[in-house]
Amino acid sequence: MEQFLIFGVVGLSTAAVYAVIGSGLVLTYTTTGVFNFAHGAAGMLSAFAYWQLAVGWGWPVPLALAAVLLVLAPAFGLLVEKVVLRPVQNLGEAERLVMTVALLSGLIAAARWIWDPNLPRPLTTFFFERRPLHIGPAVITWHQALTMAVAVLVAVGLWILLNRTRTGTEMRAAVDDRALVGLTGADPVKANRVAWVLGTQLAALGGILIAPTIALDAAQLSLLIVSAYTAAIFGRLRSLPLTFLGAAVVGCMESYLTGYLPQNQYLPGLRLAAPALLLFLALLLFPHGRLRGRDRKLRPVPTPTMRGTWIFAAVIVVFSLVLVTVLDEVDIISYGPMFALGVVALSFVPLSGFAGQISLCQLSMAGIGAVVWGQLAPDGQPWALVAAFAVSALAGALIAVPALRLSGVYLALATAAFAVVLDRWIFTLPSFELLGVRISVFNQGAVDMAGPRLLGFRLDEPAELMVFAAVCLALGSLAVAALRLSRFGRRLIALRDSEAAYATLGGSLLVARVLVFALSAGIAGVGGVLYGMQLQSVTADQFTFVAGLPIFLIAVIGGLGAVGNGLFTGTAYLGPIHLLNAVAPWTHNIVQLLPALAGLGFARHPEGIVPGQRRGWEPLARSRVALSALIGGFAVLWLLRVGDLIGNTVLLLGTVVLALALRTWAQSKEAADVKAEVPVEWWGVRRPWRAEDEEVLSRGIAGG
Amino acid sequence: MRTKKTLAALLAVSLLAAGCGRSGSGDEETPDGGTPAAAADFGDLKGLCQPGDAKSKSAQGVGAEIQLGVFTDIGFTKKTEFVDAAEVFAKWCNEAGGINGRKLAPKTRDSKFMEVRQRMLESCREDFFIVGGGSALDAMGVKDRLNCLLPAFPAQASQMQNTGSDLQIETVAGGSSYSPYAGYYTWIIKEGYPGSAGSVGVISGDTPVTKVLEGQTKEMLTAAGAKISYSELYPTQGVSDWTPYAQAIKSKGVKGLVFLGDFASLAKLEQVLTNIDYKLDWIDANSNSYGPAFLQLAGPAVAAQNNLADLGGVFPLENAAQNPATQQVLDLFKKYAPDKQVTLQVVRAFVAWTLFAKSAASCGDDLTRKCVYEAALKETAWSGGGLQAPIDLSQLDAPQKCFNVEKATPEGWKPADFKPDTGAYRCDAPAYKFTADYGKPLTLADIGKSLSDFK
Repeated sequence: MEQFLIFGVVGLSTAAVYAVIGSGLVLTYTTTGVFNFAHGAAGMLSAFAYWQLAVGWGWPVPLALAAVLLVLAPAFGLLVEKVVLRPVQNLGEAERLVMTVALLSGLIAAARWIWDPNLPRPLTTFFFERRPLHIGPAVITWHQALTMAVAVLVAVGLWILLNRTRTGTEMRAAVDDRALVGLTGADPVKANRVAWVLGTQLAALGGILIAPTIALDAAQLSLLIVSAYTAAIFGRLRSLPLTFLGAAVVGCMESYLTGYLPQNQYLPGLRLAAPALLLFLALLLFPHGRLRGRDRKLRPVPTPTMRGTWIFAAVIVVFSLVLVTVLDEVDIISYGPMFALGVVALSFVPLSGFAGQISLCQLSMAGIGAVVWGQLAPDGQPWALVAAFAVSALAGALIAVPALRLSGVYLALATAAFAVVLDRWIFTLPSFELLGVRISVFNQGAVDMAGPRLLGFRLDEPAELMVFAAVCLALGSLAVAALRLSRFGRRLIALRDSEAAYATLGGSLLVARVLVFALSAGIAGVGGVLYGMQLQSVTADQFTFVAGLPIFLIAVIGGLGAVGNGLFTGTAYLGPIHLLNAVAPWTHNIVQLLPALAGLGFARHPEGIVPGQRRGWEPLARSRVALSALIGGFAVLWLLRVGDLIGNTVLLLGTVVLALALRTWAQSKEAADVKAEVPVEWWGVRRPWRAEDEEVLSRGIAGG
Repeated sequence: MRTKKTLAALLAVSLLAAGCGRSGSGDEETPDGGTPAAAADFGDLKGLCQPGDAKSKSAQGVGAEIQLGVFTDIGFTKKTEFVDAAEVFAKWCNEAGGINGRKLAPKTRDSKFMEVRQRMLESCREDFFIVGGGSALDAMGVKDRLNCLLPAFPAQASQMQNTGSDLQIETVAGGSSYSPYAGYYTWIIKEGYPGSAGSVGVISGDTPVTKVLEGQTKEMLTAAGAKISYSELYPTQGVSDWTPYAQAIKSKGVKGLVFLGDFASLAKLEQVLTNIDYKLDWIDANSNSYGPAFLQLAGPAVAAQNNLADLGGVFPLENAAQNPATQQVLDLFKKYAPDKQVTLQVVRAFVAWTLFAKSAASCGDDLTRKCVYEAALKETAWSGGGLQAPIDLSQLDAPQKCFNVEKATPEGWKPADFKPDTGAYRCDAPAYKFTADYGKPLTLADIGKSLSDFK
């Protein structure tokens, strides 16, 4: 009993931290409709700033606290609101989510740049010199007591603000209906600003309270908040008291599991995954209110043509062949995963692009595929690729069934929780037996990945694998384009546009969702196999939730609905990084900021880069002259390169210049043609009357 | 040590780093020529570097200079240790004339954690030898290294496929099939703190790579007579509160604790343990924490808890004044890289560098990989001029004999009372061969080659 009490008190002290962070999350969500993945990162940045002032520059603690909480945090909140989120306020959930993910990765990279991670930065707890309090058998430090007190004060303060003040009411109203708030004379932008300032202050408070008890480390502090998510979901992202209850449940659960979980090799991972499991369960069991932000504008999903897609698929394969001929082995290994990760990114297209379901666990699905291949195909038997597809698809269907009633940010969180459960528990399990079948996952280490054996040939050179992955990506892109044009594809888009209408018209939500989840998980699984082949051996580390975030980020930037997204994401994920590193090594700190910067630029092209690019290049593809000039010019450059007369730089620059020049030419030519088209009512006025015009008009009228 | 050194890097994984930049690669030493130099001694190695007129192109990467690959994860971990050691050693050696007149030209091979294969292939193409470095995920490069028959004297070898692999001489004591901690843990359990034997705990990070280490540690502890009463994982992506862990340690009455993780986390755990008034008999903080950073982070907990670390027979830095070789490393750093720190890894890198310098010098003008490798294999008591307890390089997979234990105090790390019997070391460690299977080092035979291919 004494034990039980002690662990209870310990759990409550942990809970206080979750409560502070969780209430910050709830505040930003209820008032701006944005689920802020960068909440922890903002806290991290504040903790570093506080360290810099209080320890680095030796300011007195109260002064440093005031500077961070009252000046820096609000300024940062305003900046984020203005630069990052206002531009995407009216876009969909995926877009808003992506902005905070971009912010998260950017802040971590920036903090590692500014504060050398190898210097020790001791940060003592508050009142560390006082003797801890003894409550019965349990011991509570003053810092923990302070955290609990702050948590309670924050709760009371927030409740009063939101329910008893005019500003608070405006803030809540701004989420429900911004237009209406505007009509009543309030300023929705102001409400948003207040929310961001307060949210960032709470994040800062949480960061400063939590940093002294864990290491002052950029990534750790930023990613710590899964448990706080769980607390926030207990409060259904809107109720502060329930968030506090959730924090208490999570804190105590973690504490009791540490104290009472029996010791064996299968269970420690379960304890680490427990908050994520609880998050998943909470999402499933609690009723969710209507999702906010229905005033978003739905964008049409671009319709590819089969002919265009065949050309695109051919381009992918030719691209890989060119790369293989011009790059040396070292670069092939560096750029190799491009096409494999492209396949993983392609899996977002049917799922998120067509059906509008946000999934943050696609890389985990890829991990499942890789494990299946590694375990079943030590000699590269091709049928194992089908097995990898099937098992990943099964896993995808497994998430789809319980997640049926979730959408938007809730679905994103559920899939994130699923990914974390895989990372922390399933992927780290030793091999076990289930229903008489021996199942090995990563065998707690690395799994060797053999190259495939096709038609008697064994592919295991990096160059061969690269081309193989490119062929798979080409086939995948064709399949996805065919899906888009099929009946099922149109159904998925209907599902995205309105689930209610889809169900009313007799569509089965369950079937459609399970199918699309399974399909995209299967594609991701194949991508994982290809990725693993490139790496030769894989560990669970390559397929974590966190590793998957940048891929999701770039895929959204690329434009989720476009079939070309696979190639784009693969190229954009690896290309610029290696290219910049090779050309200008001193940029390496900036390189790490690239994904974040790309995310911030995304607001200007909310439909994504790929559709815009497609429109830009189409005139060139239509113009036979320009196309043959491009192919011919490129062939000459390539021959020069293969003959070692020019280097890769010249080849790359030459191709880019040639392509851009031809594109401009084709665009201007097409624009000129369009101008020649005079509206019918001006015939004979702006251009001379022609003999055939009369017949054209008559036929037009008759055809009516 | 072996694998533990990797931990810091592995645990610090922030996987958001989509690609980790390269920083300042290729610190090539340009021979400054001109001034005639006199041979220079390092520790008890007389005339380690010496002028001469060798300059024939006897092998790849050899000419007027000798190009050597130095592996590091600097682009990811931002730790400069191996690069610093290479720079300082090369500057000093080149000023003394180099190796028979050839200048050392260390070339940084920054594997940035994940790019081991790429750097290895580059090294295969350009370098004469690999010396004085190491990557955390070095298993990824072994196959390519053996394929191009590139020998290595690394400062650290971390993964199982690499430790003890062919064409590699590790100057860190202890062969790969033996526990490097046999002496250390046996001393702790049997002599130092026999009262703790009944209740030893192990906490390790949840990365798959740490699992091997955890298994080996538990096997060795059990063999030394300890009972593992507590075993726990922690998420390396961050623990929000160490109190439940500390409370569980207290409730279970754990007396000795092995912490396989980053020392920043250990520092926090110890602060909580201290807060709840629980003092363990000992905590194995491992040699990663050997340095001022851990002491700063742990603050008052250093005095309250008993932190131990096994340096595996490397002479402790704080007593450098008593050991000319260690003092010489400090002096060289003061002269050539005054703002860089001398760490345990730097000393280990120097042990490898001196081995290369001596072996290469013995080859004269006809400098080949085989000659250097075989000269090194003849060293039966290699101590890097006195930097560490001597080890026999002619037997690569032999148990470690000597160890030395350090203890953290508020004034700094100090040798613990472990009853040294040979100078600063204790050399009666029992041999313990692992019985469980943790993987095998890669051999030339595995890739269809043999020593006769090696030139």
